[in-house]
Amino acid sequence: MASVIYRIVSKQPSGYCINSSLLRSSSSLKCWQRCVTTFRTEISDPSEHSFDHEGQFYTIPKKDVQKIFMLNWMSPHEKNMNKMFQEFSILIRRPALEVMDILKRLNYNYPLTRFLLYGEMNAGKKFTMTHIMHYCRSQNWVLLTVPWANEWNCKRLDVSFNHHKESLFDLPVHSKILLEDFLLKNMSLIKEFTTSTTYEFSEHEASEQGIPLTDLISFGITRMKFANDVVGALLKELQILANNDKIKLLVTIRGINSFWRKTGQKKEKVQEIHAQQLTLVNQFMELLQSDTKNAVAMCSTESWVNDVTDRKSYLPTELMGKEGVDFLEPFLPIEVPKYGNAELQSVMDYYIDRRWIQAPEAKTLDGRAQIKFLSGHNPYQLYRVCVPL
Amino acid sequence: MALCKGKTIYHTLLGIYKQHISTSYFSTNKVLSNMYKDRVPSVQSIEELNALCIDDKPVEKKIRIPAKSEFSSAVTYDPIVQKFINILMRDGKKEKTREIIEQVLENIKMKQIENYHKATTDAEKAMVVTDPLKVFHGAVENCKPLLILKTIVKGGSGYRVPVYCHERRRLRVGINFIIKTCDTRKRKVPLSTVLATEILQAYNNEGNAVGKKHQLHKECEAQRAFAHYRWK
Repeated sequence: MASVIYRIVSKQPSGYCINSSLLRSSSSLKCWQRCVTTFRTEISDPSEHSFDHEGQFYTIPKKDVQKIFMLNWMSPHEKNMNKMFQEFSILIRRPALEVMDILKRLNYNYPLTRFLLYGEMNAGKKFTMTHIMHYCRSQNWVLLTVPWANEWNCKRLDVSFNHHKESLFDLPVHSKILLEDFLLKNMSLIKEFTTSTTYEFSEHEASEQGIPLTDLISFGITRMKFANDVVGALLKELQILANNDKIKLLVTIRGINSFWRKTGQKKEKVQEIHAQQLTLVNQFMELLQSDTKNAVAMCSTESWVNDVTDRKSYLPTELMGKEGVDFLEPFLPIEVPKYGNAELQSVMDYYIDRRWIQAPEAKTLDGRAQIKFLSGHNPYQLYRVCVPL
Repeated sequence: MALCKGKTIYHTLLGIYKQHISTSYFSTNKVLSNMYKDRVPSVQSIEELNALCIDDKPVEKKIRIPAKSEFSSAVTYDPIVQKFINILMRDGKKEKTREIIEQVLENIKMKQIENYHKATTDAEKAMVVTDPLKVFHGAVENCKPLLILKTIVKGGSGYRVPVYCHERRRLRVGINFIIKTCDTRKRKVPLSTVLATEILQAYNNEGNAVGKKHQLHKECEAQRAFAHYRWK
């Protein structure tokens, strides 16, 4: 059994968003205090998490990790942690609990709600997204993910002209990756549904009405020439299914501020391609502005998208510009802050348990104060500082 | 032989004139400015720092520059790792070598922690060493030789003689063995991964770096007939 640590932690919130600052200033909560005994919970179902479990770790079971997160969502840093510690566990924090609290009480007859996560670099936006995705999968939602939207701008693969509109450009290989990812995650939930109309891809090739959806997607994977059109067809089908109360949809886009930037893609005799000239971007923008029921969109602005010299700002108005804010309004902003004092202590307890911190000098109170100072309350820097320890 | 006599006269003259260094036109001594004369060792602990600031006296006009050192009282400091960094450095690029060695320690740690968590019984878990600094110190100690070959000229020809030497020299030779087995020209893999495997093997007394030490010991045994050439 893990060692029991008695520490007094106040119920006052540790973040810096609007909600937490209002709660902190209210006088009724200042007298209230709570004792935390361990840094772990055994509850692996995220629908049972509440504000009592804040500051504790929970482990995701291995089946969910391999099905949902392993292929396209986890970065090499997270895969190393999974391989080393032989488990994948996440810290429960306030922004994720706020979003899940809203999702439980939402009226799904109204059109699409849009969340926007923002925060400093390496503050933990991706881990809050994994927490919310795990919750939605436990409620049997359909997941549509774009793990890194700037890939469409930077990674140079084939570019082709669109058949239907001359001003737009197609990305066949990127859309094939999207379709494969979608199939693997949602295979069991889409088996029964069929298409509602016919879709014409060219003069000779078309898909009929009444085909199962999995056949449509596998057609797009094998014939890469029409992969981008299949993506557009799939998004329309999902909207129709959601409006008829058959599925619930979660759309996650990471790095949405890349939709209003220049790309690095090249084509012969074309000088510059802007992101608004790509069909994938236009298709997702139509989905975000539509009136579908039973759907939720979760976006995040990242400062990784900019150049190395331009990464100081992290506020969404500076990163997205006026066009982006006008497009996304009205949205719900959620700030992901850096670690507070109580969270730092529980993370260090977890590292000591998993043997990432071993030196006996580092386990004392002096050593912990030094690590806290050197990391600057940043989650990724905490990991980096403890490498030689 | 004629030069030797002149040498002794020169040295005796220096001994007379050492205390009074004159700058006249006829003097043969050069006036060398000793740049290490006015230097002061750096402040090395928190108590010394506090002792300096007790009285609010004005600072002297002559500023004394401390010597450069990487000493710090932080938890992450280790003297042998700093020595390794200084020997591996080229062209004064210290940040690059520091990043390489940070990656080396992380690679060692990742492998050992994985083995620790995969082991089921308590006895197997006690055998695995997860501290990267312990593995590092142990590998460097296993590569240090006991004797070193030194060329001594006797009767016009040079002989390689086995000789004892200082701890500092042995450390440097041991670290050089590790670096020169890993730093080859035809390498497609980053240096940090090659160093990590080499250090883990040296901790268990296997590998090429420890093999170089064994080769040196064999050559010392072969030349043991000339061991008395150490004393002239």
